[in-house]
Amino acid sequence: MRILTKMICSVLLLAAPVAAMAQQQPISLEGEVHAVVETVDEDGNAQVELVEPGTIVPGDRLLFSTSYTNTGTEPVENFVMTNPLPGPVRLAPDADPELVVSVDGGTSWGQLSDLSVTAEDGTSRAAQHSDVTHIRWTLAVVEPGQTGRLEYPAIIR
Amino acid sequence: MKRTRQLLGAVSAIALVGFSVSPAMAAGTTAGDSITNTVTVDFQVGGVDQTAVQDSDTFVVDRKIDVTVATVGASSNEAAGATGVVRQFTVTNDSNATVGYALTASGAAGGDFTPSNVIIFDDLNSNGQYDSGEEITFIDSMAEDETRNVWVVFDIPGTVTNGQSTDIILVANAHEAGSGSIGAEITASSGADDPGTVETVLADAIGIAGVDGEYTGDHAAAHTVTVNAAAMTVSKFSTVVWDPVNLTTDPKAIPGARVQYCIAVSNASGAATATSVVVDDDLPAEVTFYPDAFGTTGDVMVNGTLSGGVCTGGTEVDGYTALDTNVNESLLDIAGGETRTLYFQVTIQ
Repeated sequence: MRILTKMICSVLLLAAPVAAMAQQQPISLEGEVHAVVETVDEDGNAQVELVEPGTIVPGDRLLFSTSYTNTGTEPVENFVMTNPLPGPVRLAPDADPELVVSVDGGTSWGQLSDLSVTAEDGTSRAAQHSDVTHIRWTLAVVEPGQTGRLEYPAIIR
Repeated sequence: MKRTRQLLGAVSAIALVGFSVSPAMAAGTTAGDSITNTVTVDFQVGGVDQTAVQDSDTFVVDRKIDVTVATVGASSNEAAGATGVVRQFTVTNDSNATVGYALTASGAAGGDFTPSNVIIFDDLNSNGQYDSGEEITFIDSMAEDETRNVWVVFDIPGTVTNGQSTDIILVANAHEAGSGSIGAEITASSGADDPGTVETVLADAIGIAGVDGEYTGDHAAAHTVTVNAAAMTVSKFSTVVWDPVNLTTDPKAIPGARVQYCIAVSNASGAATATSVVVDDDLPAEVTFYPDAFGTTGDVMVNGTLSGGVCTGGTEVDGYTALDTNVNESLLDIAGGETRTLYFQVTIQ
């Protein structure tokens, strides 16, 4: 349901140009990175703005997103988007707990709360956000012309 | 099959990304490192696997300038006029880049006194201490997370009085690193941002209000130095102890009478211990030293106590005769709040 909600919102917001398709691929992708800037307005209310990641230093918060569009004429099935986290970032602690992630380089998958990490000395501990190496989204079907956006928050190590 | 190859290719690329990034340190990802977010989509059309689609986005990590100056060890009280007083600091480069630092040390504005001959030392030869020849005004280059020991040496004016204090402040200001010298002072990048260019952000905290600022590329710390001077007072009492008529009953200061002089030396409460205290007293011409006044051969009593204007106790000192016109004796160290006395007797001519 959560993903579906995002998809509907994304359709309304869609303005991203469709990438030129050199190959006859029915799926187009548009990756984006935004810096998350928290500001306080005149009334003292906290606001969150997404801006271009110009000046990015350790500790800054980013939102990585990928917009997808089915540019073909056939429904796309078993849509699986795999996103390895860049080394210099870690998954933000407030990321959606239902995200399907991997903490072992993409070998095994699950929600973070179900995963564990084995240390060099053989002991095991619960996986943390900083352990996440990959994120994966799975959509059963993307209809022709359908578009959406998948995103995750991260913090520069 | 084609899909499988694509997937393997994607996995290999992921592994490369994972290993090519330098490990994040406390200062964070090194400035200039690229962050590339790559996504791969596998999908089917009509139940048939299709070639995977990839997309990626890259930007570089900018330079974050952060520095911490900290004090090391306690700052004990010092004596007025002390020279070569030493205080230790550390300078830590919390930036995600190699940076040089200009160093300045001074007494705080508005302090009770101004330290003089302020010199900063580094441990350039890494023997764990500062030595002559290691005077510095800057650190030319510090790696990410590197910490350096720095010593500040200074003199305290002799005019400083008991209880006065001041802060000795060390400021480190970020400059471009060099070798044997430092470059220009680092300032924050202005203007439009560029995801592909390393820009500079000043991210330092404020160390001492009024000395360094937040987000100005510098940081300061201070040792408070309090001067603990001795605060000496001397009192002299005289008491007639005997006269030829009344003997010891209410004796009067008539010729031939004996008078006991007592010199009380006091050090104010809370003051530094006074050492090498010497009492030197020239006798008036009208009196003659009276030897053997105490015990059998005691000529002068030293390190006695004072109570109600009367000096008692102490240690006998021999060696004076009626011909002596000067009494000169050393007293033991006198701590703050303590009084020591020296007393002897003379005859009125």
